[in-house]
Amino acid sequence: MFKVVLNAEEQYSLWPQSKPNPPGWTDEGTVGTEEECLARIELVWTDLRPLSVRTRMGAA
Amino acid sequence: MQLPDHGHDPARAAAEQRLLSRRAGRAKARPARDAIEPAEGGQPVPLSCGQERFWLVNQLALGTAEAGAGNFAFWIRLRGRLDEPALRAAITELEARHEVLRTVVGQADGGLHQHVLAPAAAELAVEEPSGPDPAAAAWQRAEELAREEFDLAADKPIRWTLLRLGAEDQVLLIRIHHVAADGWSEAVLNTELSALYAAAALGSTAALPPLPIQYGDYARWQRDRLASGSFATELEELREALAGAPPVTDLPYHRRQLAEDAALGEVAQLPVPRELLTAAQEICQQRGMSLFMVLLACYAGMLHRYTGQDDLVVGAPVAGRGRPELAGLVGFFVNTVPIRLDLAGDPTLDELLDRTRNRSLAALAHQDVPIEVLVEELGLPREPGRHPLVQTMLQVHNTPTSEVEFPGLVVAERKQVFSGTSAVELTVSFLPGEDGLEALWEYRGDLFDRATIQRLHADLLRILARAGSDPATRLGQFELIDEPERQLLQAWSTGPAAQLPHGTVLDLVQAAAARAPQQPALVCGPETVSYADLDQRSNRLANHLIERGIGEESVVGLCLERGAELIVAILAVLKAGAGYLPLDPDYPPERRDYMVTDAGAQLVLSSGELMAGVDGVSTLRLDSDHARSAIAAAPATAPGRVLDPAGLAYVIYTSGSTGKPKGAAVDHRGLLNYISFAAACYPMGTGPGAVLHSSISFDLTVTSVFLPLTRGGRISVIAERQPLPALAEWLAEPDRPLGFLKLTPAHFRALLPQDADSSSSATATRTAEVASFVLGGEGLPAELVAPWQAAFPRALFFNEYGPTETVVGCAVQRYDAATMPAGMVPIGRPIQNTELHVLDAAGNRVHPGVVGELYVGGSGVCRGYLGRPGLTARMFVPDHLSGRAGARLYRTGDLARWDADGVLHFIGRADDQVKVRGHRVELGEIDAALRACAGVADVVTVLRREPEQLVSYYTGEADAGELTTLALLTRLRATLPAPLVPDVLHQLPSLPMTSGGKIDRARLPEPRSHQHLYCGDQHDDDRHSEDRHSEDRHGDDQHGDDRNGDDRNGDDGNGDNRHGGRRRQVSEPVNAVEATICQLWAAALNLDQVGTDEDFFALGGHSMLAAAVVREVGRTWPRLPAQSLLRSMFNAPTVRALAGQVIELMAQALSQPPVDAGLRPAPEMPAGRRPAPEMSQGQRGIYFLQQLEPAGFEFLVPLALELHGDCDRAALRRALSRLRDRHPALRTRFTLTDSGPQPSVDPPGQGMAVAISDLTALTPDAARQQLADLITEESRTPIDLAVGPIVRARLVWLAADRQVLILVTHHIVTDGRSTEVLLADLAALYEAERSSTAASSTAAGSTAAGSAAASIDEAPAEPVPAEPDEATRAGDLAYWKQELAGLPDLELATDRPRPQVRSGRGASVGLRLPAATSELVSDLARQHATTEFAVLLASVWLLMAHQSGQRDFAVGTSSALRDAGSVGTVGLGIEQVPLRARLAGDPSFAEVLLQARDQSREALVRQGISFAEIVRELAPARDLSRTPLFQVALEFALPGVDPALFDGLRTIEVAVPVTVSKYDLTFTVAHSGDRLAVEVEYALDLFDRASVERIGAALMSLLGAATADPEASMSALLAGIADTVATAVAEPAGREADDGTGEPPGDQDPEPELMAVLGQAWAGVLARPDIGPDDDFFQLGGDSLLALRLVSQLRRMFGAELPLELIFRYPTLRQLAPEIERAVMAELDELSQAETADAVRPA
Repeated sequence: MFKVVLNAEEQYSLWPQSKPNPPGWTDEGTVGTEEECLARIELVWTDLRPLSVRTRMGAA
Repeated sequence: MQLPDHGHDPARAAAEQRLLSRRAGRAKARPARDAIEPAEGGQPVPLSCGQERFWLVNQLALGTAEAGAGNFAFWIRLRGRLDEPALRAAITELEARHEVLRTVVGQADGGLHQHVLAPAAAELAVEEPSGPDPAAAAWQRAEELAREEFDLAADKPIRWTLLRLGAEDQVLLIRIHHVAADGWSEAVLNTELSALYAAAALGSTAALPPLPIQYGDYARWQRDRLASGSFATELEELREALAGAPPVTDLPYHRRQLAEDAALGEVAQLPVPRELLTAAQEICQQRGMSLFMVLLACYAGMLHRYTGQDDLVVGAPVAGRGRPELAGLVGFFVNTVPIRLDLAGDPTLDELLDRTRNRSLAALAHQDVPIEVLVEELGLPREPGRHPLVQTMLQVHNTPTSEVEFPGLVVAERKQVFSGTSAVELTVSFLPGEDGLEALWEYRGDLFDRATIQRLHADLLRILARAGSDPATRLGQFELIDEPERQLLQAWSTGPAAQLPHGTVLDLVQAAAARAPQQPALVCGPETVSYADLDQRSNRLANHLIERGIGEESVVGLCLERGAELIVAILAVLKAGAGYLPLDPDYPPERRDYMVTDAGAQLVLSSGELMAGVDGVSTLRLDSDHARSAIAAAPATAPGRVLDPAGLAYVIYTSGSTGKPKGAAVDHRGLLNYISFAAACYPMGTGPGAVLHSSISFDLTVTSVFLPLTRGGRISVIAERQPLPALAEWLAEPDRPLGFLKLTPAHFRALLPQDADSSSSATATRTAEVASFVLGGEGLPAELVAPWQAAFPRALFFNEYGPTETVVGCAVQRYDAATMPAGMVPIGRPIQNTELHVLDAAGNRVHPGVVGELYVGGSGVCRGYLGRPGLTARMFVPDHLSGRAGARLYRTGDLARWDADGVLHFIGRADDQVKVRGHRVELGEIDAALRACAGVADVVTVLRREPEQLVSYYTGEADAGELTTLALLTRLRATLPAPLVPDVLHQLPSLPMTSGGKIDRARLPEPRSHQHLYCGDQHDDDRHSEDRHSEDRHGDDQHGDDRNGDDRNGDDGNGDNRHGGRRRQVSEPVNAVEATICQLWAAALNLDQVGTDEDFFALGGHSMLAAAVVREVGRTWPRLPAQSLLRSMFNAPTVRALAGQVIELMAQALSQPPVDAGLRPAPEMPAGRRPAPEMSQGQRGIYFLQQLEPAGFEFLVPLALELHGDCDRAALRRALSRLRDRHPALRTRFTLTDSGPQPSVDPPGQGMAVAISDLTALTPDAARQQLADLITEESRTPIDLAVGPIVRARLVWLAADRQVLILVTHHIVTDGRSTEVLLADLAALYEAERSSTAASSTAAGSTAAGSAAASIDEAPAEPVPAEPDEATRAGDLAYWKQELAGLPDLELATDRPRPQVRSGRGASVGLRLPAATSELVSDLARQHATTEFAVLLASVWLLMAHQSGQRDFAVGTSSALRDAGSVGTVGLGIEQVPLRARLAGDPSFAEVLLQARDQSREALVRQGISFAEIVRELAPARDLSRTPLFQVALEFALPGVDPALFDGLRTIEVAVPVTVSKYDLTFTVAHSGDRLAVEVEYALDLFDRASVERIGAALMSLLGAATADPEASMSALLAGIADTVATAVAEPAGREADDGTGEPPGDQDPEPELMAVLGQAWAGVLARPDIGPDDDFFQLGGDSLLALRLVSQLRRMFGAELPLELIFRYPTLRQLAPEIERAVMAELDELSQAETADAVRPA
């Protein structure tokens, strides 16, 4: 089983549910098979730009 | 009951108890008959399953480096004075006691059985090893002996050797083959040997308990159980349990190339410390597990950690001695239980232990089912040297131990001697150790090295330790490396930390421009652009783009030719703050459109017609006037945008192995890091810059663009779309300055300096011109660098590794041929600010040296794939190793390993690691092996689907002379495991390349066919390989190797084409050998048909069947080394491959080109033209065919004569002997020499082999039956041409005055005419011998008789026929060529489809012409001044015309030419001729007759050339299904044997049943009294008896009609036949009235009364009321028994001696009646003679 995780740049990935998260990665909340997690990521990660870039461009 | 365990813990006891009760429950249910009981003697005892397996192991290993496979040996060192006689006595007794120790494996009826040898005195070899250290010498000797093979068919399976080290120091070495013993047996042997020795030494007898049964009883019991289906339920359960189990458990091996002398089996003994044993025992107690289960769980966990395999099978040996009666036996009882383990879902160690316990218990419950049976049941794929289900085993030793105790001696040392082989790939056995356990790892030395084994051991122990200390840990969540390793790996995997300059690469470029504005920034053809120009032009374009709304994070497509404009555009896009997207103008428009849309590009910059517009995306054509003016109007100043290092720099699309191309979005930070690294790492020397020569669609070019621009260097642009020639020119020009060149290895190879070796002066001038070569994009073979290094000695060479996703390069290795080894250049170490990790499937770091997947972390990791969040998330994963918050690792999909120096080696693509037929295969490994072959330049291997095949494409080097498929395959088979050997080797002039310089897999040609490849290489011979090679060289892409295959089979190409649309029916046999093997396979596999390219094992074959098939093959072709065939059965298990090898070996033996092997030459060819000892063509042909089918009897010439009267039997025997002395032909043998078969004539005086069968004691019926059997047997017992004798005789004594002579010779030395000569001589010799007897018996001088005999014995001079002169030959050749031009085959209507290969099997039907017709035939012949032969020929022509509908064909004969044969010598003298019918129009019979007459006359004089030559000249389509040129023959029989041939004896020829048919049909005509008799010999392949009878009837009808009215037209005659045939079909012929056209046979029943009488007798025997004249006795329900009754009844009726075979030979009333009549008449005749004799005998 996997879970969906993301970092401060809101870059998403997945991680085995049984393992503790590496530093800087937080749970998105989805837990499931690899396919289920990837499907979730397809849904939520609509902008590949790192959060910092998005923020700066949005602010500008 | 034995568990594979020896622990003493309650849990184990509980588990054991459970199992015991289960078994007990089953035991109760078992019927009593299940007990093993001593078998009754008589029947052959089968091998047990285990024995059979070890027999096979032994057979496969014989004569190989693994000859010791299946051996095991013990070393027992004894100190003290050994009583050697007592030891011998003990051994003798021991072997006498255990039959299995003196059992050899016999083969009979295609099966194996145990053959127990009589007890014999012990064979104890005594050796005295010498040398400075006798003990060491003895050990070395023991190891040698342990590898010595056992020939299980001949040798006892146990050997005893005494190695004397000193007076009171010796070693007893016991070697046993597993076929006779298992580990337990060792204990039995020890105990019993000790007792027996002790007793013998004391002079008493040991009181050993008697053995209730022997091993053979067990084997039979096991087989009976199997046969009775006792395991059906268990097999069902097991099949369920193992359904879908991986056929191969991947082991973490580190394959090595096998050195010549490497041991295939190696052993490592490694300790398990006490505390770990204690930990394990605690787990056992807590969980109710056995020690075996705990260790198995850890072992499986270890395998999973290495391989990522979730589902694996480990074998557990069990003792198999559950029954008390087996305990005291020596023998192999061990069974292997496959335990399937489940490691899915990253279980905790707790779970793993539980799962293992459950799975083990379930598996062990079925431990009685022999694994051999299970494997068969599961139908798993096979390959040699690998168990189909179990590749690895684990055991905890549980066999009882017992020591050798010899009184007065001390056992100083007892150990196992390893035979240097390993039964499976990896076995670990745990034994009690000094402190804890000892793990004995047995492994295949070609798969593992010792370091790997040590690592496996250490990791197993780590898992065990963790299971004890922290069972809640998940298996995938702890690293198996220890702290020092961790630190080492950490250091290796981290690249140097470097401070990046501020900003982006643009800042660096602008700084360079500011430093030297007038320096040329790029040169493209005549155009040179300075830095200032470049800066301004890109500023204008950038400003224009900004005006058009391009900005930060925009994507701008660039579809431009290489040139200044492109560089300007790149810089402009970046200056506008956007990312560029290269769109290669060479790409298909659809792909470019897709990329533009997929990347969400806002604008495409293009030029000319390069890019059409994409919907919704504007295209700016830079060469348009509008664009030019707009850009020119834009400011030339820098836009001044401050770029975010995290901003997008470019998007480059990479193709995935599956799915659509994906765009990797690279940010500025990554680009800057890479360029900074490159600038620091790659010296540009004094050269001015780099060459941009390939598409910017590949990030390879990023280096060539930005590296010069950031350093003020120059980009030299090669604008040509095919840049390589220009680049080659570039490199060839000595004065061209260059600092840096980036290439792919494929480019590098294509540009290889031609003069690298030859001209050092030319290269010297270049020496300063290139400072750095950077190779990237693909693996770099070191060999490729060497010539470049020679050409550019001062240049540096770098191998750069990096996926697009991590910006161009992330690892680099400098290569220097002088200091670095050959092979693939390593990929080196991480570049600055980069981490590289080699991880296992669970993401844990692996040990140095272990292959894992390469992950990249650090600055280079790109954002991900545009518009692919899921894919990005999967490939860019959280970085758990660097400690940097939120960092990601890119999974490269590449496999790599660290070497001991911390240098990374690229192994291959993970997705190149494909599964082929269940095996994990790394394509790169195949490439590497092939590339290592001399002469191979470049290789790429791909896996094709449907059919699934590994195809290796390769190019040859210019001077590679011997690049044959065979050579390469042989080499690959020697270096690669079988699953990795490519199915197809396909040579190409060059490998197709992508525009980016990588191998373009999509453009590799389709391999056309592969099936014949193995065949091809087996067929291969020197004669062919040269032609083939030259063809390879000139072949285009589509051809290469495959065409060779076709050419090689070209000789039967005609045959293929004959089948019209069905091109290359590869599955059908194309020659006799294939056909035979197909039959053998079909029989073995119980299939109707086997295709020649079908896989034996896929068809349900298994190892034992394979062995059986090879045995049959060996029986069919006894001279072949069957051993090598068995191996090839496994390596290439198709009929074609096997047949190829058989033919190859045959051809070697016969020195004939193999292509001829399967083609059947004319059955008979001329001889006698050349004096012996040279063999004639005909003899060679016969010899060859006989060798192809050594057991065949097609070429035997049997003859049986019944001699009535008072025979001087001794004289007859002497006469036979002298007959052989007299004729050199009968003393000829044919031996094989290097130059082919050579006849040699044995000296006279050896006599003849005469067998005697005395049947006088039998009843006449029984004797007759026996005689018939003997005749059949003799006519089918082959003659071995090499051994001889080529003639044999059997004399059968039937009664005091009746005897039968059976004489069998071989067609290679005789024909029908010779037989006549032989018999005449034999009669003369008999007479001489008889008078000699008479003379000596009267004690008178034997002068007369002696001289008579002597004169006869003088060998007649060999008449040498004059060779026809050349003119005659030429004339005759021309005649035949003209005569037979365009001759079609005769296609008769047949009952069965014509087989691909004719079998030669035949039978015959006899018929007799009515007397009147016979007379008419003679008359007609006379009237037309011709012979009866011509009349018959004309009739047969017409008959065949009727049967085929053809009007043009040939009928052959030899008898028309008999007159020309030499008389008086024995030898092969038959010549054949085709006589062509031309029946166009509607000729009358008389016209046809004249044609027949002229044809046969002409043929008589056209004998200047032989039939073989005619065949060769006319080269008709070679076709194994039929004889060449003609398929139907007409022969006139030689005159029958003269009844008065032997003086004083009445001689009657006994018919020998026809079992062969030389042609489709042969009509043999003989005079039988005043009638003509016709025997129709027919091919059983084609005809049913009934049809042939109808054909015979039609011939008679036709002859009747034609002779009655010779002017009748063909059409009328054929219409008449049609009626006859139809009538014959409708009802038995002969009842119809005369139709007026002649005398149909139906009206010619010669003996109607006789037939009526016979009919009554038949009716009685068959219990049927009506018997028609043409009813077949056997079709009416008659069988042999009834025939016997019938004959005995007829004998009573007629008072005559009627042979039983009459009924078989003449099964209808019509046929039988005349024979009876003849026999009765003969009998009467004889009686009267006898009476006369009685009358004149003096009282």
